[in-house]
Amino acid sequence: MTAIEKPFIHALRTPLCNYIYDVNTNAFVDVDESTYQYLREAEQRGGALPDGADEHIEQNLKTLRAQGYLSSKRPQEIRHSQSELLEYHLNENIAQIELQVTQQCNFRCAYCNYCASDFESQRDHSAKRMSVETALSAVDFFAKRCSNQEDPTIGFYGGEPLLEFPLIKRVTEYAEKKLYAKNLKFTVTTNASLLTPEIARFMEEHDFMLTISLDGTPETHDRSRRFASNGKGSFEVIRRNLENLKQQCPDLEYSFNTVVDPRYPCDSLHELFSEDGFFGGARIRSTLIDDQFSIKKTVPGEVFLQQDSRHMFKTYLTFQGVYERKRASHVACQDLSAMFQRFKIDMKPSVSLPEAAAPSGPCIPGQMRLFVSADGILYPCERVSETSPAMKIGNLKEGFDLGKVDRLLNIAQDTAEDCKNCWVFRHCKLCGGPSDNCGELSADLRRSQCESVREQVEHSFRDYLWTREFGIPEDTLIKGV
Amino acid sequence: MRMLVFPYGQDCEPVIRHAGMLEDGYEITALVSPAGWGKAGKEVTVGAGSGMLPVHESFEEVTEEFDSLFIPPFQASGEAVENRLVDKMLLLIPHISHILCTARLTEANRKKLKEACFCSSQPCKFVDFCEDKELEAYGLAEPMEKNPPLKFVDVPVVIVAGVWEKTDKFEISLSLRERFLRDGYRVSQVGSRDGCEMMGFHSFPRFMLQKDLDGTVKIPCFNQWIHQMIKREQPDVVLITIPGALQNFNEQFTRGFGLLPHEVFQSVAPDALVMCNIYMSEEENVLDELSISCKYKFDVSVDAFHISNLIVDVHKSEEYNRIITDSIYRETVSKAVARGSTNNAIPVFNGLDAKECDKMYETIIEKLTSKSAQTVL
Repeated sequence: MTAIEKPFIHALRTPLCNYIYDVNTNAFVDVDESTYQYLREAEQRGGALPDGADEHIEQNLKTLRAQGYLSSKRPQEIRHSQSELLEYHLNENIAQIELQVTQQCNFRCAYCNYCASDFESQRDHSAKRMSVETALSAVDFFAKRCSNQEDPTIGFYGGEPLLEFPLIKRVTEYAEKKLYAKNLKFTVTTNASLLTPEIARFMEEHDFMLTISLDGTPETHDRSRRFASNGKGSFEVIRRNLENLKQQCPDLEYSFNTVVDPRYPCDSLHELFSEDGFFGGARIRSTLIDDQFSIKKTVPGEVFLQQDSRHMFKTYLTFQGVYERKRASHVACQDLSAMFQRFKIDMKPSVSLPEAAAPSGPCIPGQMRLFVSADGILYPCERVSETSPAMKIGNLKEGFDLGKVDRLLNIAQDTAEDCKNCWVFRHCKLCGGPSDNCGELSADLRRSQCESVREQVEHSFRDYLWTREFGIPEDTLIKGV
Repeated sequence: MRMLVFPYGQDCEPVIRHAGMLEDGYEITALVSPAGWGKAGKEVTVGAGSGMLPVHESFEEVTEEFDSLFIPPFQASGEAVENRLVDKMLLLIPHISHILCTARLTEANRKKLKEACFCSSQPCKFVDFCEDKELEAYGLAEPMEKNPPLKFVDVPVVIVAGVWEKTDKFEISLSLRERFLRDGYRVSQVGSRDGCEMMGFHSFPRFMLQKDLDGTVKIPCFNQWIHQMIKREQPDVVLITIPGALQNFNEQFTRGFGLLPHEVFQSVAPDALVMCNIYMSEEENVLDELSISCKYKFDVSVDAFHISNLIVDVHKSEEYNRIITDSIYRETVSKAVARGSTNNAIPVFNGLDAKECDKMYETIIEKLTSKSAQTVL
């Protein structure tokens, strides 16, 4: 069998056209119905081309091959391209550290990963705080390892980080003095309930970027995000604080992070961030509830799915220029633009896949957003389990455990044979986190999520192709309307 | 002058490594590098076979003696950072007699330093190697006729150029200079940086970087200036390093559109050309294509490639709309060069390795020798 006979492709179609996604070149090719059916059958047979292609199909295949498509090349070895540079990335190139200044929180959110009753394999809320010594040594640790970064960033995370504002203040002043020859940035991820004018002024003076958790209208927000002390909803307190902030610190930058509970309708969320005089037009990033560590899995409701689809559809029409921007959902517009920005990067053309490569899922653990827990343990980011030994990639005193980092970076070696033949290779979303089975990295757990990733990628492929078919300019997709 | 180098960073490494080439009277005695630049706390060799110097994080830590401040070129991420660095420099002025500035500081910062020197209780001279100079300062005048003829350069010319910025061009040119001098050749050199006079050769003439001067003026003027230099110095070889990048990368990153290299190559044709490139993985290897591109675009042939430790993160660069690079460990480059050097038609070297650089130098000598034989024939 020659190499050309098992093309590495995926056949997909939109209501208007048939396509072959060519994995080696990372490109879509528009094909006619008969060629599509033929190649689709080949894909279903593991890539092997079926016998009996008519002259027309043969001619099309010949043309595609001549243009560099339909290569059957697959990676021979699963090895992340950055493996060789790991030591460099972790010693010179850390972009951001996230300091867990406290594990305590003044909220008890319904979906919170740190609520012991519903969640396994993640820590509980606790009163543990980061000491000044640990925080300052984390800054020193970062200062030694960010030489290649022009804009290194220090993030403050919790629990609720503003419970430890004096520590934040101390760390900020220390880091600014230490890293005076860097364009240092600060971020804080907060519920904004403790955002006093004094804190806001300090953050404005020190060029902070705030990420504020807000889940939507009072009704939606207060359903999940309640004060620990009295169980009351927090929306009004946050709104009041933000109004003060806007008035007193107009230069303080902030954006919203919204966790969407798909069991409930979502119209009000879209309306709030589109039409409300205060929240309308704000920068916002929305995500669905992360139930990775939860015993209870969140199943989207029918009403949510309908409403969400409708908002997305209107947004596409807006992008196409046939629906008024002001009537479309601001949240959906931003989500779609973000998706297309990502897509533009992921769709870089290529000549072929290298001999040794890894699926696109993992970032370099610890390089992008090194998470430092209250007791100085290092994690790849803030989204992983803090109780999992597999996710502990070092500590401030001893530095990185390169073996563990390499293991997470090359997590796809666990499912090497599946990955080598998977058409999602260049668009996979699975890093080490989803393989974490209560402390052990599990190939089966990783494998169990492959189908869902393939569905998501195919969905986004279709969205992308649809926009091309309707001639929506790339600039409109990326910058929004 | 016993010089404290501040801010010591990656851009300054070639000068430190080749400190022995500094003109008499210049001695590097102390190094200070801000935290976060990856240098503080380490020890570096200053000049081949010289002693080690510790890199300090602050002036307070310095125990070595110094009487001058040497400001090397550095990449400050923004004006605010440069301002803060200059504020630190101001603290030194009462304790020094000279500031030797080879960094292109903002006009405001240069003024600030000059004024502080002027007002200092102890006399302190600000020597600015980056001052703009008009054609007249180089003994040149705008050509009277349109499209003036160029004079043939009858001394072998070696040019070092870079596909990207920061690909060790300066370092490679110093290493080649060192070897030419070692073998008894007289070298006339034009460096890609300001302040090359401290090392006994010429900085790249400022008129070539002037925006308001047309290429049709720059090309004959550069040609004429090189001739003047040759007449004065009677060299056996001319070594020129072209600043900046060779050409645009894509529509987004145009990087001077390759105009400066074009002007230099039009003005003085190289007899040997070393091309410095970024580090690329085996799959991305485009060196042969690159040499063909040079032939078509500039009518020059590449004789040797140097692979630097710079990686360009194309995806991130496009995402953030600015060029984002990684400077990986040199050992990784050496391994990759050793792996891949046999795959290309044109020899590939890691010129930062002394043995590899010797081989590169031999390749250049061989090329110049064969070219000279051809000319005789």
